[in-house]
Amino acid sequence: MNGAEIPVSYVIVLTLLLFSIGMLGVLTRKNIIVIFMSVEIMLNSVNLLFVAFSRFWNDLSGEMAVFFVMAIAAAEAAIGLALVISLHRKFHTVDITEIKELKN
Amino acid sequence: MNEILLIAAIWLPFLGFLANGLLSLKKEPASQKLVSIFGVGSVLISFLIFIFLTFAENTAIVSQSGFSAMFFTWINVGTLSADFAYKLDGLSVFMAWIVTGIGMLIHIYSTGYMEEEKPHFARFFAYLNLFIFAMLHLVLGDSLPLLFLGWEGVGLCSYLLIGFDYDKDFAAVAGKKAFITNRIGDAGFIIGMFLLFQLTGSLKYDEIYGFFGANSVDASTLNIIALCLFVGAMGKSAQIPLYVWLPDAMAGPTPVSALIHAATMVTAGVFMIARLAPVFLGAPEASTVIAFVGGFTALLSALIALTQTDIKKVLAYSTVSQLGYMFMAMGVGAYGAGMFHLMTHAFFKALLFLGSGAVILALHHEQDMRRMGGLYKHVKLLAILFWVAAVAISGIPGLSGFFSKDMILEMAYTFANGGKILFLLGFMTAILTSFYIFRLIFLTFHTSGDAVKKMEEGGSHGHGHDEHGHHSHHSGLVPLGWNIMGPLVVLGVLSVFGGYVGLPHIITHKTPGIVGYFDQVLSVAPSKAAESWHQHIEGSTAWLLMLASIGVAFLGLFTAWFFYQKQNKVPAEDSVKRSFFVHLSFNKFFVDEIYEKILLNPLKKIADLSYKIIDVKIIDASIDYLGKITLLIGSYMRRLQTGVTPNYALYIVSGTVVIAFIVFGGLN
Amino acid sequence: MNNLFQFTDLIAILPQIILITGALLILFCQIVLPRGRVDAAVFISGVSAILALAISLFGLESSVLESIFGGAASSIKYPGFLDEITRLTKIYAFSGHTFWNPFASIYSFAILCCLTFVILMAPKILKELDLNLSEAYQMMLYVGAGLLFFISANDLMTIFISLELSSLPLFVLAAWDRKSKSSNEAGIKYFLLGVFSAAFFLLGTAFLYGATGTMNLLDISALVNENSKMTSETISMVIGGILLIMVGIGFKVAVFPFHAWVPDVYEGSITIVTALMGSLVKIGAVAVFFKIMLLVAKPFAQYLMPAVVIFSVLSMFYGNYTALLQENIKRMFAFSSIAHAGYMASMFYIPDTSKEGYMIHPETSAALFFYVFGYALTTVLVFGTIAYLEKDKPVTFESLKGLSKTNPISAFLLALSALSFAGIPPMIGFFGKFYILRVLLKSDQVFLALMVTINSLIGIYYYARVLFYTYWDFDKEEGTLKTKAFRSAGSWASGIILSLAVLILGFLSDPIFRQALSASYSFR
Repeated sequence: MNGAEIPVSYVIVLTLLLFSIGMLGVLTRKNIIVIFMSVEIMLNSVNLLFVAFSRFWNDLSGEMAVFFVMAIAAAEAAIGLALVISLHRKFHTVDITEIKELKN
Repeated sequence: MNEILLIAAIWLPFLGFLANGLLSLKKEPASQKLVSIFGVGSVLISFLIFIFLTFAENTAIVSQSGFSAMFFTWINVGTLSADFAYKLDGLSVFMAWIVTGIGMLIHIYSTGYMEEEKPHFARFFAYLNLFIFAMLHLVLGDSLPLLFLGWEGVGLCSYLLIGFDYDKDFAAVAGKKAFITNRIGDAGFIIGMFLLFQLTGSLKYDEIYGFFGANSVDASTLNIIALCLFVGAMGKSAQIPLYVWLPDAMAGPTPVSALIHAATMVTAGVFMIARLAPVFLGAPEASTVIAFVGGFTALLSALIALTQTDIKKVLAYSTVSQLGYMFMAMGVGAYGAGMFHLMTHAFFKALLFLGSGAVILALHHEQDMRRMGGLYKHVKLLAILFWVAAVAISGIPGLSGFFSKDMILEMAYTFANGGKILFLLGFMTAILTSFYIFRLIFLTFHTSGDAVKKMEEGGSHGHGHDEHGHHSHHSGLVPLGWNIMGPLVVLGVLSVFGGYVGLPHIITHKTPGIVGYFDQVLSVAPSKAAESWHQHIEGSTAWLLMLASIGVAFLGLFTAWFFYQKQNKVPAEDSVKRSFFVHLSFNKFFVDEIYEKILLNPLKKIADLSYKIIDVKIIDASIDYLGKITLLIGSYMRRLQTGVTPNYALYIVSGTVVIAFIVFGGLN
Repeated sequence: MNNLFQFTDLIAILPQIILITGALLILFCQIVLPRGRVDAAVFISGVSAILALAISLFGLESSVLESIFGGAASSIKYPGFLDEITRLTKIYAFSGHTFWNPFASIYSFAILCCLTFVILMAPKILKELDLNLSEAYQMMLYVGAGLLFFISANDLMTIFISLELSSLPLFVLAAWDRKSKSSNEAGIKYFLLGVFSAAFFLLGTAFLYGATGTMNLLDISALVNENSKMTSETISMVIGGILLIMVGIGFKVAVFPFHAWVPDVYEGSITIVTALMGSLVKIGAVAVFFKIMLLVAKPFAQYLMPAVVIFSVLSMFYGNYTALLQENIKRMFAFSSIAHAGYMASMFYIPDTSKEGYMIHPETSAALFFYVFGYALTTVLVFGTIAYLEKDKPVTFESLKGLSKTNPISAFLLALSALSFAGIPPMIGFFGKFYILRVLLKSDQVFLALMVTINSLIGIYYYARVLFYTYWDFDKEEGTLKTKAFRSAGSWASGIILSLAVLILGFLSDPIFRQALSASYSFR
């Protein structure tokens, strides 16, 4: 076993699993913070994929992308949390299913 | 540089329109001085520019291609391209002078005539400016789409100005009538335009001329195109059977009648024939039809004019009749003569209309000639000018109308296909013309009656169509200012001397100047192209024809003098029973009534039936069901919008999955 | 490689630099100025938007003015570095990460137009809502700069970063009205769905990267077009990647299954922000969607075509049918924007089946540009008008009654934009639909042409409702909306220019169309 390389397809499957976990989290959870964390899982699963492909192609741009994605995730977090705080002041809840004043 | 000047000359009236249009939107009436400056100034400058360009670009203008200026691309689809490009050549410069020159005089006149119309002063000038703008596009555009744009533009302005007093029923109705009648003509015109495009592949004049220069086209094709185009001209230039709108158009203010319904717009049809000379000269049968339609129109409307009592109605029918002369000339291929008559007619008819406007104004909007008479004592200058115009139109030698009318009659006489009949029509019209115009003069200015006295007695009778109703009846005549008399004097001078550009062949033994001019500037020298249509006549016959037409002019004058001056007859009141022929003429041969019986009523019945059965029962019902089903679907669809964010996320995910299945399904 | 980058690299992103500099200047003023920060921010943002707009004009292959006025305009000499730009009509900057070509510059021009009008309209409205903070203008400039990068990016990572650069400020702007429940709700919905779809986009880029080993779009384009280098695995990875990218950008364009945020967010945000979202974002997203389809998706056209047709047709039907029953005007226009996204999507990748081998019709790009440009201008006009109409309460059809009496200008503008959206000549919307239908028919897509026509007919119903309510004489009642139209000079100016553009631009469609046509050859 030692010395045998893990094929890139394994990483793809792992990524898709992680991505789906995140996706299901967004679809099923009610707490906005948890939903947001699920999105972060999705982003990070993609990061994993980028690293794998970067290794596969021996190309640095994939790993570089990871840093950008992390920076963007941080920016998203900053804005997202601010929005949640502002929202909580008006609705007194962070349950996304409760927030449905705008609808048909 | 001169290109920019040309574009400026065409678009200046538009600026005038914008300025006056904005001023007319103000709640309080705008300063009349300001409006006049914008209104008159824009046309005046444009006229001056045309004078300048005529001399500056002289050689380019008289050449075949003319002097052209490109403004911008308008439409460019496939092979059809229409630009706002203008072409100042021998024909269009001739029209541009008439349009802006006479237009300017009438603008000046209007500043006096419309003075009382305080709330509508700016609106009036806005429309007039817009009219000049549209008319300049009609005459100066270098392609048929631009001509058509102007054609519709002048139609719109005509509609707006006829219905200027839109709160009066008759004005609104007359406006509508003009618009609808013109639509019928336009349909023909558009079809003609498309057929021409199909034939030549272009709507630009230069390319059309080039096509006709390079190819010989079957006369039968051209006959159809020419007839379609002529249907358009029938509408715009008031020929049988579409002339009925023009007399009603007198509901508009008198300067409008002078500018649009006498001097410029109604001659658009004549201009169009000259513009498309290769088409019409290649279609001898269609041309014969045009000549005869013109001849009959001339005679019929002259007959109607005999018995009318409204001063403007007489002039309106006279205009239709004179337009008939022009079409007769175009039909027999005498393009120079037709354009010549267009010009002289513009002078003396504008003078007659403006003069009648002055009379109407002086008499507090009285238009009925039975309530006039003896005005000579009060307004001597006006009477003299009226006499000048009347002498000119009746064809008494020396004044402009004589030369142009005589040229037309001579050309009609020599025309190979029924020229004698045409001549007879024109000749009879000439007698009638002379009679009705002098009848108008005697009834208005002479006779023993006194208009001023009649006005003071019967003030309450004013039924004039130009009546404005909102001013009380003062005693005495309204004084006429310089801005009313000035343009009249200028037009009077033009009516006297305007004819000398076309001295007859038998006097000078040369081709008349104006005929030579049009032979030079039109792409096909018309008088050469139409040479085969004419028979040669001896000089003595020509002299005889001329003497005969001089004779009838004096005959008309004498008859009118005998009846209305010597015997002092005044036309009977409307209710009096008339003899059969007079009855026919007085009621305009019942043409309007006939149209209503045989055209309008059946159409109304069909429309009514199709509304009740096809529209309500079939179309409406099916649309109703369609609408109900649509709304039902909508009400189901809107339920997707739950407002719950995870649901929205679910749409995204499931949409992705479904589409992935479809795409990858196609892949394997 | 002694230098980091060249001077021309900076010229290639000059409009973006101007916008970002403006935003930073606003930030600086906030620190330095004790008072009058907002006025300074308005001024700076306006100036930088207009400046960037002027610069973007120089990138056009032959200037628009020139094609309108003929030779006269071409004799003008531009000073110094501007002349440089006009020469550099096709450059790739920053080692191929961005480009500056007619495609980028024509879409930048459209975006900057809308940005300028929104900035001109915004101050008075924000002031009346008591929300006039200088940060708002900063955010708007960031959105503009982000979208400009979005369009000119030639690199998957750059596209992703600029997508986020344009989205994040918009999330903030959507929730700008902190005191209102609906604005907060709009913000959080837009945010959650936005980052969710961005994750899909990112996964898509990862797959494309994995299949090709490069992030450069042109390199990817060259690789996927070379059949010999593609295995069946890489093909499915590329197609999967493109699909996921379509999800991410389709969310921004608001095509059918990804549309759901649009009505809620458009309704909840303050109206001037809605104008920003409806116009700018649409232009940017449409441009990038088209760019990616053109560069990457070409060899897979026959597989991807069903997806595009589904997006297009379902969006049209869904948008139109739901718009029929709306009472709130903003919501109605939001649904109609989904329908318009459907019309635009019909241009995304429709191969010309009348020709061999799935060629794309060359006029597609031009028709798409003209449509989206006209749509965006009309959107700014309509939402700007509504923004100045509403007072405390949202505008509903009921409240539009009698508007033509109490507020004739707003009534006229609403009617004008509704007519343009409905595609009635001579408004700009008509010409947009005309070009789209022409392309569809030229490339034998009769089914889609039929769908567009049917949907335009359905659309006329609810657009006519706008006219009906504003101009209907309800027993000579006075309207309930008594606010004055356009209460500031800036909004008057943009209102007049926009309405003239909506009215007249259709007649000048030919030069614009030709310009867009030449831009469509940018990538050859």
